[in-house]
Amino acid sequence: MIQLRALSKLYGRAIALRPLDLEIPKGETLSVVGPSGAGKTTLLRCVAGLDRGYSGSVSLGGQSARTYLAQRRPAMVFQRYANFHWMTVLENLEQALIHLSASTREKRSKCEAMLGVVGLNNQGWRYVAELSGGMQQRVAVARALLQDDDIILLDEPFGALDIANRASLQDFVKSYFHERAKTAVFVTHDPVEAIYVGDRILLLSDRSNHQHRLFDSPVQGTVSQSAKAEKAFLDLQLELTRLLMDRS
Amino acid sequence: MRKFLSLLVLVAIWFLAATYAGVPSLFLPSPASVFNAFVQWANTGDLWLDAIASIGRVFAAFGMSFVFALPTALIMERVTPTRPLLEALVDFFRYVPVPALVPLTVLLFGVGETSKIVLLFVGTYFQLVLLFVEAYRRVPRHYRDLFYCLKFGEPRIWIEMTKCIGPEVLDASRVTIGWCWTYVIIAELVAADHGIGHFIKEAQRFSNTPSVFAGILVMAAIGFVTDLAFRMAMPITFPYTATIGGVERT
Repeated sequence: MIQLRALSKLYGRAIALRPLDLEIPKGETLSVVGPSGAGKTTLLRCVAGLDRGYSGSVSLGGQSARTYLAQRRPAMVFQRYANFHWMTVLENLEQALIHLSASTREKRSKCEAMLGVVGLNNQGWRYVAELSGGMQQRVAVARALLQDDDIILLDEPFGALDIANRASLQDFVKSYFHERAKTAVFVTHDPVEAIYVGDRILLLSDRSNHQHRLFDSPVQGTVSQSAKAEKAFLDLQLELTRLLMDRS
Repeated sequence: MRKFLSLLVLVAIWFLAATYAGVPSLFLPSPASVFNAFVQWANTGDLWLDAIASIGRVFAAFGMSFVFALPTALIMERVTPTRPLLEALVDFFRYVPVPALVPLTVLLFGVGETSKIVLLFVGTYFQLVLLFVEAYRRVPRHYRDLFYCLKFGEPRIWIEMTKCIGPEVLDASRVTIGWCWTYVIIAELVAADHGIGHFIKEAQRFSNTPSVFAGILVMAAIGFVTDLAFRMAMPITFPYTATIGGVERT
């Protein structure tokens, strides 16, 4: 479980994240949406233990975020993918398994299977720098999934993907998180994706006169793209879009 | 090919200036007389001895600078308390002119090879440290974050950061070894038995301008080949830079 108590963050005088109280139960996927500058990435970095100097507290399974980072390996997909450009795709994925006590062959076959899942069959030998943005993003997602930590943090992981790969990966991560009871924080700019992937949706506000808001997804646990056409889904999508566009 | 074309144009201008501009040959010898001086130098066998001596000094000193500069830069980047201390030292010594150190190195290390190599080492080590530190600082934050998320130990982080800046290290080395060739002349001015700098100095003593030119050209040619070798090493050593010009495509 992730617990945030009055979490807020300043960069100099600029407010990066307004105070936030939240509990994310084990096995839940929380989608985070909000305007640019509302603190989506800051929230992820605080939860990952990568940012210090925030107010309030972050606790992951009873441990502080820094302790968790030091003892465990929170899986994170960064906005800029953060694939090591001096390694091949397979080598990048193998980094997620360095602490696993398995033979090199076993590790390699795990990586190759994951490459198949993210639609990168036969790309393992290429350097990541040779891949398109969308392919690099899939490498980053594959590495985070292979890391197999209880907590997975994703910062716009499907932003550069084409529509088919995006839908397929949405389905995959949704069922993967549910089957393995992963606790995930999923940042996206897309309200549709947020509702579909998340069990709950957090709308972060960047204005002092507005509160952060939480919504329950009407399609929790449903892995079918057709769920996006259901009335409850469309109503929430409309509501989120209206709130995101309301700059008053 | 264009590179060689520009060199040919330069030789042509030189030929015309030396032949028709009426410049005394003491100041501007003709290409032919320089070539003759070169052949004479080669025939005595001294060319090879001089070239090997200079190349040996440059590579020995540069190799030492490289071997010490890379860990120094890494320590400055990763061990935060050392940064201001070492930075002050590096910034101070970086501005000490190498020629000013000649009397001191001779005094401390004598007139043998050691003083020459120390001189070249001082001339390049501090520059290399600065360039390497800057390269380490440019390692993107998301890589550093990922090192922590993947729970890399500190030795592994040091290795991966060095791999990350590999192309920059090669580029910085290419530039700095050029400075080393500048300093080798100064180093060979004092009590050298062999070396291209020594050859140029001896030629100058007897106003043998064609030999001075031959010495300069041989040094330039060795530098040119060294530079070419560094450039060719880039796609071999770091194959991922070959396809996309070293820029990470995002």
